[in-house]
Amino acid sequence: MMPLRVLILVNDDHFRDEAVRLFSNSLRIEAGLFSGRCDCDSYSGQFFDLIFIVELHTDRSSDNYTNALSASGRKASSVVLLTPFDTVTTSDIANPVMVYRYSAGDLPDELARLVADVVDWTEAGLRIDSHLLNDRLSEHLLHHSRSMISVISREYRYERVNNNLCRAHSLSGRELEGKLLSDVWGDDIFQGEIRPKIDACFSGEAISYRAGFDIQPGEERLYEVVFRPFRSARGIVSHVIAETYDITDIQESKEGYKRLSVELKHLESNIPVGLIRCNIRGDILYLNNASMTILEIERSDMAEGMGIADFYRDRALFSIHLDRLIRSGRLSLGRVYLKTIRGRDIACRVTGFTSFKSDGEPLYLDFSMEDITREIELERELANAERLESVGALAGGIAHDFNNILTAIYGYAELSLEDAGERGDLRNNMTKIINAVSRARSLTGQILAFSRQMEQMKVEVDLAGVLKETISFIRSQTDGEVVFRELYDDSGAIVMADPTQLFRVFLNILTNAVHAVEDSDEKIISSETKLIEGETAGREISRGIVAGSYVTVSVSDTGCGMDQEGSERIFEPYYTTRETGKGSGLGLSVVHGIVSEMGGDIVVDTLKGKGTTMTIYIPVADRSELPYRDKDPHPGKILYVSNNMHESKVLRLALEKSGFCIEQASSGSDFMRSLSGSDQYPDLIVFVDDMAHFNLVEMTSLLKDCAHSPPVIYISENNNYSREENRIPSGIVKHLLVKPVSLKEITGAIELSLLNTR
Amino acid sequence: MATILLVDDDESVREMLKTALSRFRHSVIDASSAKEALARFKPGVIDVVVTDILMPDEDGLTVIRKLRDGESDVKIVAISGGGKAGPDNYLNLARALGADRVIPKPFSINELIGIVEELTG
Repeated sequence: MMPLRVLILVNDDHFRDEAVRLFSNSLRIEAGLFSGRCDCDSYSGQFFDLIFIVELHTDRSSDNYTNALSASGRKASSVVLLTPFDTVTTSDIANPVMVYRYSAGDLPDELARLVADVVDWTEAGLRIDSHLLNDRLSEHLLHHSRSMISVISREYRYERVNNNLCRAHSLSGRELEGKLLSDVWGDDIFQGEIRPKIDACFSGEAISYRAGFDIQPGEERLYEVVFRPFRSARGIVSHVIAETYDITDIQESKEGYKRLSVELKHLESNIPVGLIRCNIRGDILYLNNASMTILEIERSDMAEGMGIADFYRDRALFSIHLDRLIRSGRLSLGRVYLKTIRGRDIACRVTGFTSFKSDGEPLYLDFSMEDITREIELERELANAERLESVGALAGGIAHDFNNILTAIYGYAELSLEDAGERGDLRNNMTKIINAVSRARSLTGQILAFSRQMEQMKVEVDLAGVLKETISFIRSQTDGEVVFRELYDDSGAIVMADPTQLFRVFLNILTNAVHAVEDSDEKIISSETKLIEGETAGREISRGIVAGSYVTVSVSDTGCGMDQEGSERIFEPYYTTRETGKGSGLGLSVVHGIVSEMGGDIVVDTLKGKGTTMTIYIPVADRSELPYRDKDPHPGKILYVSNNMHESKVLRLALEKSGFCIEQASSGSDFMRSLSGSDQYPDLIVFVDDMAHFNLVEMTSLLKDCAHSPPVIYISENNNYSREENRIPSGIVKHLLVKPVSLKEITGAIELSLLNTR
Repeated sequence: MATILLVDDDESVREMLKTALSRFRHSVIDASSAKEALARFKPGVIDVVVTDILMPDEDGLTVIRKLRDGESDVKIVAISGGGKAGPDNYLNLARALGADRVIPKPFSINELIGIVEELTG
């Protein structure tokens, strides 16, 4: 250890020898120099660890004492002033000054004690000690600190306190210093709370804790208390420095900040708006949950190294947007066409903001985005539905008026046919008019079906059954060229529908599918039935939650598919993608009308070149709401005479629900077998005039031989009845219907005929 | 042979049906509106009312309702070229209001004659 450099300045020559002797015994004084005039300037260029200034004369004015002080202040780390005066001005000195006072007669004793102390200080580190007790800067800090600071002795007394602590206790420094902590805080608190911590601190441990005090009555505030051990020269903890700081506001701010951070994080995670931060090149730096959902990014690391441009369908457009955003600082785009990370096309509403540095340079680009794909789809669907609705209303109105005109034409043609008598040319012309009216009636029927104004009966129908019949009919028409794959669920769901109309729906959709695959290498038509909950159906067909269940029938083909315009206009009447003359252009309009009337809907999923899937949703009949019908255990047996198998099956589906037994005959010999070979004689005959070698006249002649002749409902394909009327025994034909006839018309006629015969 | 009150605002239909029904020896009283029909209706004289549904001012449904409200058990046949009132079809409504039979237009006169003869026994 380097010896201390000590300078002693004494203003009495008599004393200097004594002083040198005293000091030299204990210290190795390298500069044991004196100056009677306290002229420390003579030691210029030297620096001392310690300067002693010893004032011996009571007449201070005669000595250049102040000079000595100010000079020594520049030359030493510490200064010790030994003086008999009460007042000492140390304000001119920057260094710490220790002031020792002695009584005029005690100087040698004082000096001896001072020497002993200095030895101790030297070893303890005089600078620290003096720093603590005397440094003006420390004083300043002590009293201007926001904390309450005290120095606590081993006797648990306040040895030193700062102004804040005094204020808190409403006591002056003089009153508080020297007081026992137990007196200030009360014995219970002192013993229970304070002392254990102070004791721990005296054993060398720094203690920190938080506690709530109500120093001001009624206002408890939170404080942080820190006890730090203060060690003496020998390493012994001589004091505890206590610092108490009011952290109520900090704590509240911290908690508030924490709460706000959590709330912001929560908001940012849950807000259904995508938020993306990018650098000024548009490289993604951060994206929230919603933007990941919108862009179909499963994990945030998947977006690393990607930029907003990677999600633009048209990258060139991004460059334009980026340029505008950086130039104007803000960019609002009502509709931007993007693609997800999986390549799915979406439309988004995007707003961009630029964050600027203080020097005006752009720093970040922030984007908010909302997926409006569904919104756009719904708008389009709504517009389509409104268009169909208005076209339907117009078409329905025209069909109504047209039916009136047809009624007159039909009626007059029939009257004229009768008047024509044997005039073959006139009969021929009238028959042609009637046939034309039949065609027109079929057309107005379709228009009314499309405009949902056609009468539909509602009976319980096994939907899968009708679909099977229709596919089997279509299959027979395609000569095995098309592969049909059928998948039926086993729910056995029953819908309320007109089986004929349902048949028509499936027939139209399947015919369309067959046409679509005509030019495909792979000709596959798949159908599937499923039972789904109303809520699911509601979501899929863009309606609110719909009660009950739905049966869905999907028909998919591997055909040519449609573009967007095609899929949007597909249900419009007379919209057809086929060549003129192929297809009426009304088929799917009729399908739409019928399905809508059933309370269902159709969803078209198509892509040009990729085929089409049409899914029909029909509500399942709520059996608890079906009208109770007291079924006649034996309502009757009907002999259906026609060579059209599928029509009879449809009729069977409709009538067997009511308990009717239906048998079919497709030729004269069949007819005879049915009459003679069966246990139960038919109660009614429905004769469809569609057989090449068996007509109504022939059938009535066979019936004449029977003992009991059942009533006949005659369904004419082309009004042959008028021609044959005079050859048919009167009373046999109860009802005459001209094709096309609705199932409702047939069942109405059947019920009435049977009613009349009973 | 029956007495028929024929109601249709369409003159060509009215004339044609009048001719056809007369040819089958039915006696026809015709009306071009619901109001006229109700004025011409004579209980005990009219056997069958054949009424169109969609007509200006009061419609055929009103004719049916007023006849049935008046507890007339006259046979009623409703004819209509289509159209819809709310979720239901006019002919369904006509049946619900008490029409004995309904026939969608256009129809064969033979069908109408058959029905008239059935209803009048």
